[in-house]
Amino acid sequence: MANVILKNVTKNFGKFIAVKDMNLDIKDGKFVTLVGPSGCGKTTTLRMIAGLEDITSGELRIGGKFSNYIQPKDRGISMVFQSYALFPHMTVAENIAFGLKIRKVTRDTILKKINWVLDLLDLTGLDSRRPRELSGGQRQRVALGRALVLDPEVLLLDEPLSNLDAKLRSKMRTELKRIHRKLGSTVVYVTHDQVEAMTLSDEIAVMNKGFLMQVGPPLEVYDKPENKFVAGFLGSPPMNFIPVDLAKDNSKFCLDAKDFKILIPDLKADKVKKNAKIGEELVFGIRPEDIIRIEKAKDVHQGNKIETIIDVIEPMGSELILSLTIGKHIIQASFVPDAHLKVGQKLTVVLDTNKIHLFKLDNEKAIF
Amino acid sequence: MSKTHKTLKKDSNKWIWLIGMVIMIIIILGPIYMMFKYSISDRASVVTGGAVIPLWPYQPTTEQFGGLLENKSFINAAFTSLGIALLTVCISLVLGAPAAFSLARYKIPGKALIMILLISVRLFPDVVSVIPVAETFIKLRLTNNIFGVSLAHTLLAIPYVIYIAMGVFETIPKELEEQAQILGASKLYAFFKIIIPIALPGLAAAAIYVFLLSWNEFIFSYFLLLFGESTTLPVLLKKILSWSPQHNLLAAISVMLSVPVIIFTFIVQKYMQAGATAGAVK
Repeated sequence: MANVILKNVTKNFGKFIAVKDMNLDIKDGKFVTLVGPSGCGKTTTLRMIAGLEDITSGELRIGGKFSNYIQPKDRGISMVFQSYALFPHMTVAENIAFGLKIRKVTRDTILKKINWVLDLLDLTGLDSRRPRELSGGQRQRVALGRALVLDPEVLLLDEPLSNLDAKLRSKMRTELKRIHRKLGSTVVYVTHDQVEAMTLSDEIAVMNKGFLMQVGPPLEVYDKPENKFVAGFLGSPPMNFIPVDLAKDNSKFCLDAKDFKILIPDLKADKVKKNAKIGEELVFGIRPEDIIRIEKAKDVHQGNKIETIIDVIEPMGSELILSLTIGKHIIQASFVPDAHLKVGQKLTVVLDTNKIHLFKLDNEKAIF
Repeated sequence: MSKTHKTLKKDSNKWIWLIGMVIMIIIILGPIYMMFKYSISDRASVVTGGAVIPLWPYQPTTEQFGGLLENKSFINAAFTSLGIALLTVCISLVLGAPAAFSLARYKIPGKALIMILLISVRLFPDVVSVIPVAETFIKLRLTNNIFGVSLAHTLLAIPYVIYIAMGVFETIPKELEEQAQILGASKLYAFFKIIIPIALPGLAAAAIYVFLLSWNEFIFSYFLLLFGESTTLPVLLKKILSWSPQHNLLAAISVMLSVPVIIFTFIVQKYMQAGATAGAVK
């Protein structure tokens, strides 16, 4: 098992800069996910680690070794492509044995390893089938098996679950987590699905337009986003953003959203003083699950009452997503199911002041 | 329109289609049948045209085929043609497939020009292009031997091989090679173990085409073997034609000419299974 370090890694395709000055430290045995919208550079970064793309500038170290110019097969990595890339003219067993045969492993060892991986991935009995005779989930597991059988130092996975249906996807998520725990390999995982990123990773690296926006454990990146992009990317339904002006109410800071006001708790006042001026336009953020119905609010929240009207109700089964209008603003809130709520009804809500976020308008950095 | 009128019209449409189909079949299969009929005709049938309706000889006989199979020059010509055709298939595939692969996969400067130059050989009538080729081959001492003729046939066949093979390679996903590369395969290993097996159906089609081209080729075979002792079947056929032989002999030779091609096609057909890349990528 090895660690992977990217230092100031940049990738240009002609004039287009796909990855800009990326610094990432993937520790030995950790499961790190590169997540972001399409075109953010996550697959390009993965391919650079694999050796399928040249690194324009910067340093890549795998297991401490400078690896920019090392061939993919000598980097100690294994990769599973989004499309699986199974060899169609070979059986499952031949596919899995392909890499071992090249390394001139003995026949007995090959058979042993094939059986081990078939058992690990619940593929027993399928060894003489061809890819076209397998289901999507089975193909994906064969591709994974082909990668695992080589005992890679680093396992690279490029959106391996995106071609599976929702039910199979969640089943395979659990499987992947179990296999990671069992084998303890270093995993670099690429996905655009933030749910996968949150549930599978030891650390999430959020990317956008070639930049690394934030990296950290899932809950940390979720609760303490360092910028507006990360705040809006993680979480479903996404965080509500409202443009506000910084104002003063008596001696406290408050955020003026024209239709309502939000008092800033004393704890955060210092941060506000350091980073913003009175009258400055800022962006206020609050997650749907941090909007609380007044009936369920505790005393400490009472300072931030907001009168809303219910516009749309989306019952999800386990929760209720409401679109609430406040004057010209619309925010989304997530509540426990309640059949008594009706469209057009007035609803008073309170915000969890520990969970409010504030971002600068120009560089979108978080003030808190 | 009344109901009966409509039904009548439908029926008459059906009949017109049926008659049309029968006419088409007669036009296509007619000559082939006539050729077969003449090849098994006895002398009397050739002269008078056969039984009352000239569709079957008086006394079908295989004497023409027997005669040919005993004829030394015919057998020699047949083996020469076969050898040249098989050699041409080998050379043009061995040279053409890797070339097609590079053209399909890599950004080569001037690729468009190369493609046009490849096709340009076939833009001229064979009668015209044989002159410079024969001249060059005489200087290189490539005339009057099987290898020289195969080389000339390769010249004619390679553009087709490259175009067909390029099309085939372009449908093979690049990710298969990348995956092979990551698993430790060298480019050559990946080419022979992954790319070629998948491309086999397309290459088999190209092989059949090349065999056909070489087997039936006349002009280059004629000029390049002119002063030698061997000849190919098409050239032999032309020589025989000059004596105005009986129809039954000519027909028998034509039937014999088509047999190896049919056999070769049957053999190679088994590589042309559909769905060669099925299941490779989603």
